[in-house]
Amino acid sequence: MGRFIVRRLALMVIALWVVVTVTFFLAHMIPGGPFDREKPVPEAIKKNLEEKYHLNEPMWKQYLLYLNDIIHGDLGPSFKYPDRTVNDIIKESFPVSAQLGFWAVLMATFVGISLGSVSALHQGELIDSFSMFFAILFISLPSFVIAPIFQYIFGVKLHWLPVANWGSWKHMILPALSLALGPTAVIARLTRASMLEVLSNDYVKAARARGLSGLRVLIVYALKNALIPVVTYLFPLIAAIFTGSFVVEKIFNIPGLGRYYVTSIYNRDYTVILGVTVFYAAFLILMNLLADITYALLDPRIRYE
Amino acid sequence: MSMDIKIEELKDKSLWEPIPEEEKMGAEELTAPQVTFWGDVWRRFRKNRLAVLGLVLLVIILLFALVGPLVSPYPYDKQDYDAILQAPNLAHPFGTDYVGRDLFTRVMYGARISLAVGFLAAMVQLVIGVLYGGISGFMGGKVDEIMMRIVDIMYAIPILLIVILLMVVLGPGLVNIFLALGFFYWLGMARIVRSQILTLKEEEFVLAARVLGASTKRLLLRHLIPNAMGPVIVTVTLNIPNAIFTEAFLSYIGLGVSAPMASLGSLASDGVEYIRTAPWLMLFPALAIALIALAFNFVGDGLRDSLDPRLRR
Amino acid sequence: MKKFRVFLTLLLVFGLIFGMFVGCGEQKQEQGQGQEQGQGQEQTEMVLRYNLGTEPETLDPAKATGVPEMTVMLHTFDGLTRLDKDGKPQPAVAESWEVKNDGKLYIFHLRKDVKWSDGQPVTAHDFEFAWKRALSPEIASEYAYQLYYIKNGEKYNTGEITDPNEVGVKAIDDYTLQVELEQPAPYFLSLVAFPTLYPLPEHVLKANPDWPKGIDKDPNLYVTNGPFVLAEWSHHDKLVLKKNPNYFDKDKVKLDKLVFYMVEDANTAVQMFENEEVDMIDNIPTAQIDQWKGKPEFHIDPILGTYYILVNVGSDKTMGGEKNPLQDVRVRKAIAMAINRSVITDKILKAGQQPAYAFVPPGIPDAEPGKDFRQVGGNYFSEDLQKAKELLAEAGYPDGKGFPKLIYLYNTSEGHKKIGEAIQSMLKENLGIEMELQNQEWKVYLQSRNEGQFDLARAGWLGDYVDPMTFLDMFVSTSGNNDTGWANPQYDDLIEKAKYETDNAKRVQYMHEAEDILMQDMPIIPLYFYTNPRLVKTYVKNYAAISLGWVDFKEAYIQK
Repeated sequence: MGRFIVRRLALMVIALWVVVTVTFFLAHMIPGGPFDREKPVPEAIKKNLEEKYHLNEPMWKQYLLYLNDIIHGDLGPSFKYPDRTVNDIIKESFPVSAQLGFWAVLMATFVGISLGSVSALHQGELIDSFSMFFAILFISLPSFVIAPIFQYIFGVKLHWLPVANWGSWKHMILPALSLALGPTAVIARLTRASMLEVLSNDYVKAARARGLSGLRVLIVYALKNALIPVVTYLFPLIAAIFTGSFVVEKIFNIPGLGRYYVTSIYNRDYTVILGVTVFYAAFLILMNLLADITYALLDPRIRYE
Repeated sequence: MSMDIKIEELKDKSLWEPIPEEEKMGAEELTAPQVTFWGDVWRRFRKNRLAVLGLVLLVIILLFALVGPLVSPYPYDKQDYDAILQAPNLAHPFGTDYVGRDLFTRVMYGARISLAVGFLAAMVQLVIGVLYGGISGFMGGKVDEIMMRIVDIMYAIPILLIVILLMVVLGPGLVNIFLALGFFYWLGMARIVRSQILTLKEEEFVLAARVLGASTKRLLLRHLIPNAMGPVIVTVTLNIPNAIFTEAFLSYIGLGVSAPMASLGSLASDGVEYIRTAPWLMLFPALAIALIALAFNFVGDGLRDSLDPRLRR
Repeated sequence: MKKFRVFLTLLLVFGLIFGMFVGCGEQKQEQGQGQEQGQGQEQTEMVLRYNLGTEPETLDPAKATGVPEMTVMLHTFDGLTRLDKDGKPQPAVAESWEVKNDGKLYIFHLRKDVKWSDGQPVTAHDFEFAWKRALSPEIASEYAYQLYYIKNGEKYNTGEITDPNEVGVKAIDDYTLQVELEQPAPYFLSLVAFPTLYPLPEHVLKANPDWPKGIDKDPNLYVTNGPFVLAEWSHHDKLVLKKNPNYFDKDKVKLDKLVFYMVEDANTAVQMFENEEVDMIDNIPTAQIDQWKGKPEFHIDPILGTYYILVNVGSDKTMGGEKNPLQDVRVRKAIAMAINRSVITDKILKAGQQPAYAFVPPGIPDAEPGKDFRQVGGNYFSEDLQKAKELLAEAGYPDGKGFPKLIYLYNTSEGHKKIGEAIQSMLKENLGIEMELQNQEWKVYLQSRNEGQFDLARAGWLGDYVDPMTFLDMFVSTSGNNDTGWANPQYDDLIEKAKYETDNAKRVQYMHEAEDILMQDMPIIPLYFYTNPRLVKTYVKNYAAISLGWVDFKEAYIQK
């Protein structure tokens, strides 16, 4: 396992380099630049700006300059927010998104797995149908639809919770809920499906026939083996949700990292685009490594060598 | 590119002892001839009431989408400034929008686009995602490593950049939406399938088939993938509404269909603004999406049960 | 089976309890630091909460370009002058001034009681320092061209000269500032009220050349001279200003705190307003305007702006080699006359917008006191279907026959889409002209516009200052905003003359004549004049909504 992890980390560096390279050139290829505005700035001023940010250099040189910076851990200054560096932006906003993401993932995992297991064990019964309709409903109503409805009901009508902004635990409930509903539905359905597969396996049937108690069958055999697809879905989800959701953070005015993924592209804020992309890529690859390790823990027959 | 070529290539590099081609035919073939496999599936599928209901539902939605607009008294872009934002009534069963267009007609047109997007997303996942993940998980080792890192890289690169680039190069159009979806919509599925194959390939029945001389292709397509069908079908069906809304987002960026034509996803997204003043604008398109999702879900569940090899035994 | 159920129920219950438990722990922890809840625990504290709508890019006066940045700095700084609610410059740091040399030399006499928030006096040197800094190429200020009126300003900014002492701004003594201009500039006194021309604390910037970096972590670093000072800046969340005890005019400042939120989602902002989380918001979604009309919170404030269609009158780029019918002025006029503007303003937008039959919006004074430039200029055309059809037929396209399909370009947005759809439908119905709508992401749209990749394109313009020139100089043939391909030497000439005319009556006359030409040739088709619909709690008093888009809360107060 040790060698496997080392190899994976080495491969991660290569993968990150590919991500940086592709994103760098894609970002510079799309039309428009960070200083394009409806009222174009005079040529001379544009020249000053471009010199300041090395945008006047040939592309390959800009790329090498950037690679050099990133190797030294410097993600550069933002073009859109000239007084802030990308390192600062990530440092300030990631903890916010991660905190929100933590509760959302926790909720989704817990409710999703519980609901999925119950549905599998009661296949075709009322609870099963209920959880399916719940899943379809929340999958068909994405967060940008659900969130304003939540704001209206729990904020404007009931005055239980604030409509938006960040601060106390009260501010966290609605956005976390909006974030969690979709994944909850997916996890519930995945758990149910793979649990059904496992439950129909001969060895589980045999275990049940041998008189093993229901609880032990559930935990030892069924749930454990059924969790693999859930884990596959969950770990990249952690990477995605912990780094923030554009839609939810925009609707609830949350100072998280998620907004930058989209706005930096609209703004052609090259350094921010690259910074947040690399950050997410590293997080994602690490999470997938964790997923692979978890597979091996759940099913000892799996080997990677 | 044909996946078969890849499989052939991979076969030579495989880690186990390859059995010479000539010896491969034999016992395996006797148990389940090709024709009865799908016949069997269909027979089983027909018996599943929910599955048939789903199929009927899909056909009805499809008819609505294809035939409905032809019989509707309103064109989808006919504006009527004296009938702006009317609540559902006899003349306009789904009400009218902000320039007085008949929402019912627009939903029917929108369903065409959204159904096409849904089907496409399903196909992309089933074909590219399942095969890619299946091969990756089955081959294991370095091949798996590299194939999965490619998935990670594609996952991490901001899709919005690619979408903007596609828009600039290709301009608007439904085909370009398909291209964009095809590009990235199979990634999640590839991961799910790979994880399933990783455990399944250690199961006794796979070992048994291998000993009996099943080819890689056969092992994958007949033994491993059908056994992974549960999570596969769930992923496909749950991703359909997601794909429908992704299309709306891509259209919003400027890649997809141009206004005044609209898909269900864009109708619902546009309607969000009106949740409190004209809720029907959001409600009916969303309901249509949910119906499509439900129908796909029923069909998917039915398909899964019919494909389940253990039930067939 | 029974045991499963018990187990799972327990699992769920534990989960819920665990969640609540953690939630409560969070609550205790957060309550300690979460005092900044606007409503104010002490009865005496007067707090006003306003939605800025977006995160300010920077609070460096030299680098700021947008309305959100200006709104914040309007409260943290005072320039030589300050605009009143009609947009007229009033004395601020300068208590008086002399204009000499045919308007080419300004001598400002500064108040002696103006202090920086750290207690140091504000002197003429701080102005000289700030202006030269804004002009220096290393700072790369986007709005440096606002200082191009100053002698040698442009040359220094473009690197033609390197000695900042040649720039025509000089502190004669601590309280006298002398400014030499390249050409007379009639609106120079308004210009000095803008952020680019604010003073900067030389003693602070000398010690910290990276200023204002780090003011988000330590707000005290943001040394300013305005009615308020920075108290907290949490990015993409909120920005809090508190009353400046060192402000020279502090008796007029009633608010203890100003809280700016950066809520980008318009729908969220309205719901926050309803839930008493914010006191004033701009930008109400069209879908909700009907709901608010007639309520005391609903205000329609003026804003200088025109929504119009750019017409590509240039080459045949988008027509695939065919003759571009839009080159014919009769076609352009037919299109302008066939659009029903009141449908757009009254039935689609609903926020009191005025249909536009000319380019310069109302709200700009004419030469004669009390008269409005628009009022004097009047309307240039009217909607007339019959006439439109005739014109189109004269141009060789009776009932739109043989007319190629037009591309209407707009940047992605709900509002622009609605207007585009309406125009498409009107042109098809009224003239038989087919149009294809094409939306693009903002910067792609800007590029397409710039390259002439359109036939018609939606555009809008908000004035930078209260003068017709901010609108009219966009369409000289050399302007970066003129994407129409239209060039008229007579027009260019009139604009040039108006720019350097010192006699105001003549100047305004030139601009009227220029607008005549613009509307005669019609490379742009005006649609409507913008308004600024706002929701303001009834207890918010005495704020000044300036028609350039921002609000001055200097003298605002709250009366519940």
